[in-house]
Amino acid sequence: MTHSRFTALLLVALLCTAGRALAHAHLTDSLPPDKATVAAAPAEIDLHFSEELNIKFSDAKITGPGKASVKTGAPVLVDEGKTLKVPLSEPLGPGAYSVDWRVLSTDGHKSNGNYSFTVKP
Amino acid sequence: MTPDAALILCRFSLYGSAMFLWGASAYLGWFVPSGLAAQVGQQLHAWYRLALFLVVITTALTLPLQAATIGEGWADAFQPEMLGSILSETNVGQAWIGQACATVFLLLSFVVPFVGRRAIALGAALLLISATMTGHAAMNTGWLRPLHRLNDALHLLSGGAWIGALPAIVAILPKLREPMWQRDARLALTRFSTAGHVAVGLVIATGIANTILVVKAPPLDWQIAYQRLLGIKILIICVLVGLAISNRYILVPRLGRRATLGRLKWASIAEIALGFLVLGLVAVFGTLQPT
Repeated sequence: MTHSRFTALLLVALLCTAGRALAHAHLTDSLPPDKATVAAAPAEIDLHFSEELNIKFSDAKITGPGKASVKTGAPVLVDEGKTLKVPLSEPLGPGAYSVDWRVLSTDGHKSNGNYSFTVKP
Repeated sequence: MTPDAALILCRFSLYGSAMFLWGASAYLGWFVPSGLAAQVGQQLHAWYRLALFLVVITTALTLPLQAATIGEGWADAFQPEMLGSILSETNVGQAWIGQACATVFLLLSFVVPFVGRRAIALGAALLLISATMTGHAAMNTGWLRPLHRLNDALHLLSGGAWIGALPAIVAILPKLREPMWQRDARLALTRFSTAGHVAVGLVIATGIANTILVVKAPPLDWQIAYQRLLGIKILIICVLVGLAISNRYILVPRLGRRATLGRLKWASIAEIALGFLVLGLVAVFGTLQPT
């Protein structure tokens, strides 16, 4: 009878909606890489994410030795919107740097995180 | 309340209302004989009004709530500059414009005389489709993206057609006892069952496709909140299955008895309630990281 059929469909519908998850962008790769020690000071920081981003609400703050913040240019998106490229206004001196990123993926999810790298003396 | 929690509540009300408006209107508009449809429509009038009210309110609230979650909290909810940036420079903002257009269409279909239930169904369908303009379909690139969106839309529409039609079924069931409506009610329920086969096929196919595209593994890691909530949801679904089995194999064969119809009606109402509970769970873990 109809009733059992629509119940069955309701169940299936509800089970299947399990797949409706919004994905969060997370950092999959970066340049310089996480915890790396690089010999040459990079001219830019490249952050590669798992999702496409909206540039308006995506940014990264770079902090150098002595908690001094590093001056950066305006970030841009490359690689179909998945890589956030942050140009550095001045060359980095030797020392430990940390990168705090905050991004908005195109599905409307905010995420943030940080990683660090070292520039060799 | 945090903006994130408010946004979850907002989405829950929006999708619940849109699914009812779509499912009930499509069913009454295309599958129920017009005399009976008018009668049932009258009975559901208050629910229609409530659903429309919720759609309008939640659509209006979605944008400021989105601004508050993307920005620094409640302070950003009504900041014109923030709202402007979201509208013009984010995908969720553009999806909201689509949602707002669908809501205006839906509102017009209610207030313009003689456009009928099919226009309401169309407006609600547009609203559900606008939901697929953002969301996890964004995780694909290239040719897969439009396909994923189409799949999402079909999934929401076929699922919503059934869930939303349940209140109309609850209203039609007692009419099997009324000599005046008996024939039409039987016809309406038979058509419901026939159309169900198409919807079942669509929901299953699109659900499997969705799962392949998004989840990629069974939800067995209960350490993760998303998978835990999904597990709870599956338990509720087991209860629903029990209810369905009891309806089909205990109540339906006794349909000749007077008390059975009433029980079947209450069982359907219980299913609607459990369906809402599940929709609520989806609204919560839909915002969590799946793995």
